Amino acid sequence: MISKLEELTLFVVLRGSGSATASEVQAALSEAAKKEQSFGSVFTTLDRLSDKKLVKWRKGEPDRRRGGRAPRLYEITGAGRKALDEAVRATRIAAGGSGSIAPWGVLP
Amino acid sequence: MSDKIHVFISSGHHRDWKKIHESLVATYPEKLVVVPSVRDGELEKGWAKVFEAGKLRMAGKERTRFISMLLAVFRPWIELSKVFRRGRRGPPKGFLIDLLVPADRAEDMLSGLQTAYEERWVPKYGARRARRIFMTQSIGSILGFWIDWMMKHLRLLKFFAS
Repeated sequence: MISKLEELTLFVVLRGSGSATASEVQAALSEAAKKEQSFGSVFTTLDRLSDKKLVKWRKGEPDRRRGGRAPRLYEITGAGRKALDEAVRATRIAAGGSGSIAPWGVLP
Repeated sequence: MSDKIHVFISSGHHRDWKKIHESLVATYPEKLVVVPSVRDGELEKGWAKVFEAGKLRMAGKERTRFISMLLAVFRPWIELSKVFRRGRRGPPKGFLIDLLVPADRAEDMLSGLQTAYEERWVPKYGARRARRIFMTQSIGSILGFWIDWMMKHLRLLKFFAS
């Protein structure tokens, strides 16, 4: 089972369709929480998800500005989609819903 | 832009004088000396004391002399501020992250923080507060990284111990 923060992070990574950056994840989480989310927790969560093989990353293009750094581009894996789907299903069941799978239908 | 230094002496009579000050400072950040409103009692007294003038409302030769005095006094400060401002252009460099986090992780961290700084924090909070947020977030990221690293290794130690 994944934590709520991991679940939200996975949602944002999924939405980023293969090129989500830590900055985008932090922006989305800040918007959801209505306060500035800590970058530290975002990086830690992404690292943890990466260790669990729920997301994978590749190096992006360096920023155009002088001395610009290359961000990691995160992409959700099959295991990640499955974990996310299970988390959503668990939430629905806990909320008294049908427990049916998410609209994007990950599970067979 | 020319190297001319703009001196703006506000009478403070205009009802939007604060806005005018701000827009002038924004237009000529390095080349403007604003003498604050004469209606501002404290500042007026301060300026009068510095230049040994009884009043700040001056005209003709007196004003010209006053302005040249101002320029003479402020010249080193203006030059210094130019140097500092030049260093401040763009997002912070994130020296602490480069120093304390492994290179491959630091690159992504800095990219994320610098993007957030430029695209969200500066427009939302202004440069000064954005810098403070950048600093706080940097320290949080460094601590988060090392705490996570420690926890991971402690878990491994526990695993082998059992």
